[in-house]
Amino acid sequence: MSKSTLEKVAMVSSSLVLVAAIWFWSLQVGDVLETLKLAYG
Amino acid sequence: MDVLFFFEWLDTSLLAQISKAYGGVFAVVQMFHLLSLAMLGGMVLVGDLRLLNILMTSVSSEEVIDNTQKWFTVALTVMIISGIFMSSAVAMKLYYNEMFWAKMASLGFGIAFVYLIRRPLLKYDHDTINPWTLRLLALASITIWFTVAASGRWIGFS
Amino acid sequence: MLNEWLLAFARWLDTFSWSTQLHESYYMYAWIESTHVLTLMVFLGMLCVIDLRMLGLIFPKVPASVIAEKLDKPMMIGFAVMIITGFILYFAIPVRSTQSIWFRIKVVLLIAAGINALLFRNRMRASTDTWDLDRVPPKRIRVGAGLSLALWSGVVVTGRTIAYDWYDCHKELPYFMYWVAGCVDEMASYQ
Repeated sequence: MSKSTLEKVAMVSSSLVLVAAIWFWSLQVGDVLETLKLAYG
Repeated sequence: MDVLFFFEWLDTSLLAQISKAYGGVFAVVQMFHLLSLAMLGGMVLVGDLRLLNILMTSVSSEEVIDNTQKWFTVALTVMIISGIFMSSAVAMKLYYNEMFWAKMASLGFGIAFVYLIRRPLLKYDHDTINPWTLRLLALASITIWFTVAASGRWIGFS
Repeated sequence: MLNEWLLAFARWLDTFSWSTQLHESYYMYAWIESTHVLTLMVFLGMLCVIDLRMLGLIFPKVPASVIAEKLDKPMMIGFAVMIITGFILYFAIPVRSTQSIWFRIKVVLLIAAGINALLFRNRMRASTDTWDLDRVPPKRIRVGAGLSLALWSGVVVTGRTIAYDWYDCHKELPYFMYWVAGCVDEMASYQ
């Protein structure tokens, strides 16, 4: 892979990672809030 | 692709017999997992915080990345070996654990990300790389390894 | 006598409602504990890089004082988080922690590591103009760094073993073990 292609791949994959992480951790926070509502009302 | 057969095999393998029978051995292996977690964290943070121009700015980022790489690999290797050993002790429980799969997904991606994208790119002179790419790379790296560690710890609570 | 005093202190802490609330909380204890474990990546991670430099195993071309100086702040931030979360964890389960032989050993190792760090810091400040640029620092510095890594590894290991109940007071242990762990009631009723 040439340097410029590698750079583009790096940009895209890093952005995907950050989007995926926001999605994953939002789900976790949502689950926690739901469980706390069930547990404590 | 269902990997249940692999976990069933692992659960009754020789490795599992050792890890399940000797709690002391399991504990020692887990210590190595924890200690190499510290080393991995240090190498990731020093490298990524340098790329973000937050830490050690008087040292060139090429030198920082170069020096932290080797020890990152050492730490990761120890973590994977100790991780496999520990997994064998509770293989079936892990198969049905959501957090375990979250960890494996992020670990798998993390390894691919580091060795196929990040490391090859950072071999080039950093001045010739778009600074935003470097920042995104650093943030993504910190995020992945944090997710691996946090989901890993949470396996124990779920 | 110290055992009695420590147990009385722990039992007093146990009477606070926050202590019970934390211990019985759905998530709070788990989050504090997870923060404590994960922050060791920050604190011990930085320490690891510093000690590896002092052993001549990393950053050979960077002066040792630069590594120690630049990584000091994030290391201390990590240390602050560890101490705070550590105290909260102790506060949540004070009696068991006080009577845990592993916790006791951990505290001793922490103090030893702290003393080692202080002595090390002083030695570093006094000699940077002589060996700072050397790839491998002198023997006394390497010993200090090796000791640092060993002591902190001990802190991590004993921290993990606190959770195991092998030597808990409710187990049948020799009298000496009851004394080391501070199992005051068990010592009194020992036959």
